[in-house]
Amino acid sequence: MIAFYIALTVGSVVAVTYITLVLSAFFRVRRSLASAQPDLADADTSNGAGAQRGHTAADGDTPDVYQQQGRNFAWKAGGGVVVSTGLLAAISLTPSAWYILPFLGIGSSLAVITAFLVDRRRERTGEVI
Amino acid sequence: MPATHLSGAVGIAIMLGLGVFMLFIAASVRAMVRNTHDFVIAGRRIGLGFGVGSVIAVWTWSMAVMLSSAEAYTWGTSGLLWFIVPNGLAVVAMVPFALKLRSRMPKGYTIVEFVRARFSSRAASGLMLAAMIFGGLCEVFINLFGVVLVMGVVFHLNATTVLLITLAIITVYSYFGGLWTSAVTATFTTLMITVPAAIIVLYVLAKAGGPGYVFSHVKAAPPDNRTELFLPAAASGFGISLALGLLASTMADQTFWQKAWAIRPKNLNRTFLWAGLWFYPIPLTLGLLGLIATAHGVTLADLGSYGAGGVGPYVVSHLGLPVVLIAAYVLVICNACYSSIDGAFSALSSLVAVDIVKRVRPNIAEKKLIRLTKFSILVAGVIGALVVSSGINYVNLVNLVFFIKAVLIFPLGLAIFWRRMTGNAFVASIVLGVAVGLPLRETGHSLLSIVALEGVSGLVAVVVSLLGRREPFDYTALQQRSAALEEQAVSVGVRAAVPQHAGAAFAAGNQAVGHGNGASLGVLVADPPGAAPAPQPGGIRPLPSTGTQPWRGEFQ
Repeated sequence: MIAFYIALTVGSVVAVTYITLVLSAFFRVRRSLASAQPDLADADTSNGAGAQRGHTAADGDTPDVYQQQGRNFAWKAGGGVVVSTGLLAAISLTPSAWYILPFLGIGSSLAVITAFLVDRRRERTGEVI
Repeated sequence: MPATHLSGAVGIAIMLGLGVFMLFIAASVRAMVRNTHDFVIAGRRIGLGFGVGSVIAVWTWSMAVMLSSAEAYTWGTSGLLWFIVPNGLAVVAMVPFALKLRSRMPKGYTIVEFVRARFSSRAASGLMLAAMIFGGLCEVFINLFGVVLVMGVVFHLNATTVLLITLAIITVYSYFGGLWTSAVTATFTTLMITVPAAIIVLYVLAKAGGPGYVFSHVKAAPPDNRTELFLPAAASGFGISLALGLLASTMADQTFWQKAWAIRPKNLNRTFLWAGLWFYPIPLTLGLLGLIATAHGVTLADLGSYGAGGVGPYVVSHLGLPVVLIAAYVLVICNACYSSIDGAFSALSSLVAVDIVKRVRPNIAEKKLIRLTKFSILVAGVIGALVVSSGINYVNLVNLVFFIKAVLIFPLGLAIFWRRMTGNAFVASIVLGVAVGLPLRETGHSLLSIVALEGVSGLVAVVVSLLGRREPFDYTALQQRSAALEEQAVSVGVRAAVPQHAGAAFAAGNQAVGHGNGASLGVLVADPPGAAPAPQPGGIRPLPSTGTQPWRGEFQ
């Protein structure tokens, strides 16, 4: 039952942080749309005139943006398969490993929290998103 | 195991409560949707946070939360392996396809639109449209069935009541905001699935005697191979066919393509990669419920007509858990189902807008277009209710849908990556793949049928393309395609802002004027193609034309 209480505590903290970040991001997007202010992505054009032209986010689409993203994909995808198979192998071998899985579930929410923090950091630093 | 008695009113309260919450979000999102372009593609402004959060939730179907327990119960850890590993990989596998297609067709909306542009073949685009609508409806059926199942096992609620309430709720809130609503509600859903699931499973484990007790009983349970990870019977029984179907099901699912075109360009890779990798823990966690059922000797007879699919809800409602935890589990399932259904509704509405209505009536007024787009959600909901209430078998339905979807892997993959692929090859590979594979499946040759399906579709796609001897396709042609709904949204903005400026040809092409709130909001505006930029009344400053895009101006 100790694991349950730890998860309850950690989960509550994660939930509050998560909701705060989602609401903050949501209101930011809604404000941006309502005032039709060109956001960071709107400003993303090769000639730097995106904000003036009021380009949509899609106008930031350049082949370079996509080519740069495909790097190391196979390693990362393979890593996911190895780790998930490894976890299943662990729970097939020892009951102690069973506790890991639920905590990883809370980790999924932490991943989303990290994603929102990345969004926020990029906006603050003026980095193109 | 004795059941915890729970009133049906609690179940209804959970469904309605969740519905009110979603509706509240949808009402808040409503202001963000000004036109059909916003409704179906969220203005292509979805960031990393909403991207990751919504992709995890949309991929967490009822099957991820219930079938994982069912496979663990039926096959042991080997069942979990074959169910979970391809499940997460399927989302990750979207990365190369999404990157390639978005770079080649940056202003796309639907995968059917790509097939139409790629092949210029009515047969190919018609077949793809039918496949996408079928896939979207099946997504609705499967997840509606998930809600019916959990409410039936835990609260003994009547299927029709559950269907009516669920559909009414999801249809209403999906109706308001399209993809934005889906993205925001789904992001909340990810939280409401992951954290409660972890807490509930840890409590259930403790209540069931702890991992040590469960582990030893699972090992001792007949047949004595439940902790054998690589069980050949699980692979041939369902594993390989489900794995291939799952892999196809993201790349052949408009729900995912819609997001691929809606996410900001720089976030594309990270969104699908993170979502795929962090999806894994959800079915891994909930799969443990199936092993707990095995340890406690739950039999198929105990599960009644719901079969193995009902094992998760059965364990949670029969271990003497506090009511709040049982309710939380039901909420997890409902969240998973609601987010997947609203994602499917959103995808279906994008198909209706771009591939049906705009094709049949290219000059349709914006108001009418958005009304018809939204109406398609109601139609999909009614079809879903009719099918689910017909009493189909949940596990069989899931396996059949994923089997048929698997036929799209080769034709669609080749269409995106291979210049020589032709429209005839696309159609022939799908038709022949299903024609050979499906009868084999129906006669009990599970493994052979999937091998035949993939083998025939891949071979036919390559051979027919090579025999066709047509000029290789020039993918740069896709870059020149303009975004139909975007232009329509832009044109509505211009007409509302400066109707006196609109050229004759432009006016003739757009008889009806939309609601035009774009002007007051200061949205992007455009002139008719070819019109000379000139100083404008109303504070609009002209800018020169850029490439194939319509001329744009900006409110000062």
